[in-house]
Amino acid sequence: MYRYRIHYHKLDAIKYTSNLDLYKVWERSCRRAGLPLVYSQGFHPQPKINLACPLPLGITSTVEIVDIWLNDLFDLETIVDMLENAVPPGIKVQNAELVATSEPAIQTTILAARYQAIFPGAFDSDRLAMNINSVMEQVAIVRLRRNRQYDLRPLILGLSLLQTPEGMEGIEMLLSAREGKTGRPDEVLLQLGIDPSLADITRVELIRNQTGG
Amino acid sequence: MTINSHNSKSISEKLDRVLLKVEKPGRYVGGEYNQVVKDWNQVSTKIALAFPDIYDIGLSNLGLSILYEILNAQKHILAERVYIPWKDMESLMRSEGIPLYSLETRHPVSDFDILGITLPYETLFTNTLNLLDLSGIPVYAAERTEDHPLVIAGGHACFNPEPMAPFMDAFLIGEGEEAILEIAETYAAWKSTGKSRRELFKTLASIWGVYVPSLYQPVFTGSGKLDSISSVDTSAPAAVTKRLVRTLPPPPVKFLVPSIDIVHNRITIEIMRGCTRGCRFCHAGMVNRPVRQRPVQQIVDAIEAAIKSTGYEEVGLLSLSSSDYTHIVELVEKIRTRFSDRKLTIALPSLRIESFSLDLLENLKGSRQGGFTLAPEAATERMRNTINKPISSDQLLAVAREIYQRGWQTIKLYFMIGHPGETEEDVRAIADLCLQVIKIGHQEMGRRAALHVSVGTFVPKPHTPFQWAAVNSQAEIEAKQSILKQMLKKQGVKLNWTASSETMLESWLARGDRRLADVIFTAWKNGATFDAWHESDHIQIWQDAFAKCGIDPDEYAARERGKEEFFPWDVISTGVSKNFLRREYEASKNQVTTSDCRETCHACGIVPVFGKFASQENDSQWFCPVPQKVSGL
Repeated sequence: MYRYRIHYHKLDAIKYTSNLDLYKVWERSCRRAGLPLVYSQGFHPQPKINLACPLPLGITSTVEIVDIWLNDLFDLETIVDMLENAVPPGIKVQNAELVATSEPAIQTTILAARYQAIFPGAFDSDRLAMNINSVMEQVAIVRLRRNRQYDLRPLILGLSLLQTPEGMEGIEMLLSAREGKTGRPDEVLLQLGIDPSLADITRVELIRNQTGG
Repeated sequence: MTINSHNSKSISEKLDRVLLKVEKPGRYVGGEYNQVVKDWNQVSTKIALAFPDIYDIGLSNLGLSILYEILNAQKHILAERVYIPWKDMESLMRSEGIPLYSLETRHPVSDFDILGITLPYETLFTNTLNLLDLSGIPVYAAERTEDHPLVIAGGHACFNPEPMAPFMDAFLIGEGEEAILEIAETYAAWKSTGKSRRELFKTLASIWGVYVPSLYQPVFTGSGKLDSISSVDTSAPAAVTKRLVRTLPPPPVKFLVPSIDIVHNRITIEIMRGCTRGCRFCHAGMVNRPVRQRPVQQIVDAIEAAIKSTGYEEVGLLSLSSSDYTHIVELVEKIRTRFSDRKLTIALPSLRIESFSLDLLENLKGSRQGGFTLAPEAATERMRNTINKPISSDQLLAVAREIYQRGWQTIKLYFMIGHPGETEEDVRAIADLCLQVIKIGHQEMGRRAALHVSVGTFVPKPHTPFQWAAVNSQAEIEAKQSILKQMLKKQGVKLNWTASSETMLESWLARGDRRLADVIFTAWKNGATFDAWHESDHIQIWQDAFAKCGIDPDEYAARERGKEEFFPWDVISTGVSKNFLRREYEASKNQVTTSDCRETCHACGIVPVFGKFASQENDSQWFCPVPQKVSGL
C-alpha cells in the first residue's frame, strides 16, 4: 500500500463542489486514470482518500491537498500525468509526493489557512482599514452561524488590506484551520460589513504543523 | 426585465454574485467531466438540449445523453445543455434579469439556433412553458419570429403532441438518433436562404417523424367533440408516422460525470428497445415496437468504454424486459467474468417472475445487496388476464420464497390499481398476496425480511389498447388506496402509492386535445410548475384553470370513449393499428390473453408499416417476421 499526496488547484466552476462531493470527484478521477485505489474492508468498501482541509463553497484555491492510497507503486510524474487528463475542468494537478503510510492524517496537521478576497466592484479601502483595526482591537466577536453562537475573534490570526500585483484591491486573512476551530472568510467579511457575494475569494496558503499532531 | 441584452460573459459575472445565495449552486455552472465545449464562433448550427426539470434529475436522462453525443460528434454542430432552475434560483434569475443559459458556454438559450426539449412525461408541460419564458422566448409558437430559435420537442409524452401543440414549432415523434441530424441539416440549409419561418416548417414537415402543428387544424363538431385533425398544407402528411432506427447504433459511452451528487449516478446501457409482451396498459411496450437488440459484444465493449470514460461505480442495463433479451445468459456471464473485480454495482431491472431471474442476478452481482424487484401489476387471475400479464400467484409465491431463501432481505413488488373492470375484490387480493409474501419472508429469515409494495394508479395512455378506457375517479382511487393502507399495516411491509391528484393530472394531460393548451398556459401563469414533484400539489390550480377555460377535464379522462371516436393522437401513427388496439381492448373485456409476439404474429401493424426497414443482420433482428412484400411508407 502506498500513500500519495497530491497538490492541486481548485478553480472555476468546481469551486461550487462541496468537500463531501469532492471525495467522489477524486474517487472517479482515480478510476478514470486507472489508478488502483485501496478500499476499506467490509460490506460497503470505501476508497481510502483524505482531503486536507474543507474549502468553503464558492472559494477557489491554489493550495489544495489530497492523500490517496494506492495498491501499486508509481513514478510521481506518471501519477501527475495520469491524473491530469482524468480530473474534471477546474482541478489542476500540480505535483505528487510519496508519503509514509504511518504519517498522521493530513487534516490533523493543518493549523491555519490564508485567504485573499478581491473585489471586482467598488472598494472603499479607507473605510475598510478602519473596520479591520476595530475588528483586530476587539477581544471577542460573538457571531451566530446556523443558530450556533461562537467567538470569531480567536480564529482570526491576521487581517490586512491587500493590493495584488495586477493592481486589484482586497483583503488578506489568516484564519485558524484546526479541526473544530476553523475560521470562515465569509464570516470575517460580514463582520467587516462586506457582502461576501461581492468578493472573489481564493485560498493561497495552508500552514501545516510539519511534525504532525 | 432586460433579459435579451445578455451574453456569455455578463451571465458568468452575474452568476458569481448570486450563486452562493442558492441551494446547491453546483447545479448551475456546468464544468462536468466529459462535457463538450466548442468554439461558439466556429460552429454553424447551435443546439440547446433542454430537460425541463432540475439538473439533479435531468443530467442522467438517457435520451439527451444520446443526442448530446451524436450532435457533438458533428464538426459543424454544437450541442449544449439546459435545465430548469429550482425555485430559489428562478426567483433570483428573474429579479437579477439573468436569462436561462446553457451550462457549457453560458450563452442565453435565445442565442441558439434550435432549442430541443425532451418530454418523457406529461407533468413537465408547465415547466416547459417556464423554460421558454425564462429564456425570453414567447411561449406561444405563433408569436415567435425568425430571430427566435426553432423550438422542437421529443420524447414519450409527444406521442400525443396536441396538448403542447400551440407552444412548439415542431415535434419529433419517435426515435431521434437519425432524425436529429436531418433536422439540424434542414435548419442549416434554411438559415442560409433567409426564407420565412413557415418555409422552414414546410421542409421540416417532410422529414419522417416530424409533426409541425401549425400545418394541422383540429376540427371540432358543433357539440365540441374532436372530429378530425387535418393537414392544411401539402407538405404535411395526413398522419405522421413515428421515426424508427432500423438497427440500434452503438450506445453513448462518454456520459457526463457531475461534480455534485445527483439522483441517478450511473452509466446506463440500453440492451434492447421495444417489448414483445403486449401488456395492455403499457405505453412503452406499444410505442417502441418492434424489438431491437444490441449484440452482446457491443454492450460489453460499451460498459468497458463507459467505465473508463466516467469512473462511475454503477452500471444499469436498460430494457423493458431484461429476461427477454435473447442472449441474456451470455451477457451476464461475460459481464461477470470481465468486471467482477472492479467494485462495480450492476443493475439488471425488469426481470420476469421466475427462479431463473435469481440465477441471473446472483451470477451478475455475486452478492444479495439491495432488494429484488418484481412487477406482477395485478393479484387476481381475472385482472391479470385483463391487462395481459398472466402469471400465477403460486408461481409468484414460490419465487418470493426462493428470493428470501437465497438471502435477499427485501422484495419490492409493483402493482397497479384502477385497471378497467377492477373490483374491490381485486384490490383486496393485492393486499392478501403481499401478506402471504411477507409471511413467507418471516418463515425464511425472521424479522429481517422486508417487503416494499409500490402501488401505482392506472392512467389510460394514448396508443395502447386501454386508450378507450376511463380513469378511476379520485374518490374511487382513494377508497382503493385506503383498503391497501389498512390491510398492509404489518411489520416488515412498507407501502407506497401515487397521490390520486397526481393521477388525475396525468390523465388529463396525457389525453387532452389542442384546447388543453390554454389550460396548461393558465395553470402555469397561476403558479403550477414542477408538477412532477410529489410535494407540489397543484390540483386546485389546475381545476381552476379548467373552469376558467370552460373545459371539463372529465371529458378527457373520466368516460369510456366511443368505439369510433377520433382521438387527438390519431394524427400520429406508431405503426400499431387502431384495429389491433381495439381487438386487444375487446379481448381484455373478455379476459382473453394474447401471447408473446415471438410465439405468433398478432398482426399489430408494425410489419406492413415498417417491414421494409427490418434488418437482416442476425444480432439485431426484429422479433417480427420480415415480409416478402410491404406497402410503402
